[in-house]
Amino acid sequence: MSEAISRVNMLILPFAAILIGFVIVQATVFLVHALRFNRKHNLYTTQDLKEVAKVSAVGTIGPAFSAMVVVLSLIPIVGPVVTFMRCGVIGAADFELLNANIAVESMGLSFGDPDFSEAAFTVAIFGMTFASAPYMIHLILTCKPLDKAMIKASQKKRSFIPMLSMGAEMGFIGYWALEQGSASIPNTATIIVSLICALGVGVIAQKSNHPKLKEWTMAIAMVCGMVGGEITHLVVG
Amino acid sequence: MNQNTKTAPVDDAEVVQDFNTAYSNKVHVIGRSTMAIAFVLSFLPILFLYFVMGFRMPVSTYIAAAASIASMFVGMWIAEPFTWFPVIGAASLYMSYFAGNTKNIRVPVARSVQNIYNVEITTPRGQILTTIAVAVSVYVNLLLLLVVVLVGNNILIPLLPAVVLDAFNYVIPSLIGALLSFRVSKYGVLKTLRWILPGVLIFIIIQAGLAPFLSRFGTTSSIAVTVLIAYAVYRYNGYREDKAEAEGKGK
Repeated sequence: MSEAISRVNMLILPFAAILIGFVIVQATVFLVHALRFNRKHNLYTTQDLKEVAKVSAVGTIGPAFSAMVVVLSLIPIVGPVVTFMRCGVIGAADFELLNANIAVESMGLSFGDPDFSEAAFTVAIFGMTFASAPYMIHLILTCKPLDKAMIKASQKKRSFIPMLSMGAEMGFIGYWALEQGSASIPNTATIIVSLICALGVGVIAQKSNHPKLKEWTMAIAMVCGMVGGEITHLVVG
Repeated sequence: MNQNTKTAPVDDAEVVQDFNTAYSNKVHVIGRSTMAIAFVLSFLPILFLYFVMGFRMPVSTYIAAAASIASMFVGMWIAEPFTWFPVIGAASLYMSYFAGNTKNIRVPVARSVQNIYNVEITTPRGQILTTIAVAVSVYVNLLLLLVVVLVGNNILIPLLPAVVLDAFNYVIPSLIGALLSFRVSKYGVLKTLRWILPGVLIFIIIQAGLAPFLSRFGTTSSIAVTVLIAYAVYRYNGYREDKAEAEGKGK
């Protein structure tokens, strides 16, 4: 990491802290709002909510760790503070890395250049920020009308909304599965092993009368899938 | 709540009414205001570096960088939030597009709890559950990120054997397998496969080079086509139900 990048990292530390702090504030405000509604209408017990939190935490760790591997590759390039700031805000590490590179290349530079200055790095940070900003504007403008339309549609005698959810999800998973599965044999094996494991855990949870096991479906399936993928990789090469 | 229930619990009319009015309105007040503040906060470091510290490049440099990025992502900017909205709902969407990792973390976490508790995102129960799960995932993800940024390079990574690090390459495929299982266990193999067919078709078209302009919008195109087919099926089913109803009245 160059001197210029280190210096800029130190300078923007307070801004990064504020931004990341605000991510926590937003999540907390939404969480409190949902919990208040839940308490008012008694939808879920405290026990249920604790379990949801546990499932969510466990379900986050696996995918988050995979993103962390890319995060680690980002730190030597843009520094720890910028990495933390950008990966905590619309933060897919690979997305940030790509945008930083596009911005830098548009100046005819690269991160390793000896004359890579603070000003050039400011443009790189701008590139990362600019790539995320339209999503924010998009949601400010469209999320409410979309939600109101969904509510209106759900009140009709027959609602398209459940099929819309299903269609969106299947279109996304189907394409993603093909894209990832066709990349390599270990990838295909991983998807199959993970799918079979998840289904198996569901059946065992139901038959053995251990509903709590179902909470671990995703975690168990992911570990099995990763092991299956790695074994296939070692065998096939 | 019994997690093994086959039929999802139904929210009563009062809950739905309160959810659709007071709760939903406040979600958007929170969402819109926090996104506006987030927008300003995210540009603040750049403004500071440019105006206060004087790290300046010509404005044309910024325009060139913005133009390069915009040409690459404009389709995603427009289409992506629409695709996740029907899966995670409004509050979770606001959180996801601020905290990030929508596809890799928020959607899988949301689908996981919806599956375990047998709730649909279209119901207040589903929305409340998903919002709580996504908020928790934001905290956990940030905590992990902080740990990795602080100690990852020096402590965490050297501790892990190479084979474990290698296995992280398969996190995304294993996530896909787990997500697929939620639909397979609900609808069965055949129905799930049927709804994956539009995605297969789009994938083949792109891979065969028949529509190169779609290559950057593969996922979005697949979702759009699948939703269109779902709409056609919905209309057809509605027509059949109306017809059956009319025949029943006629008798």
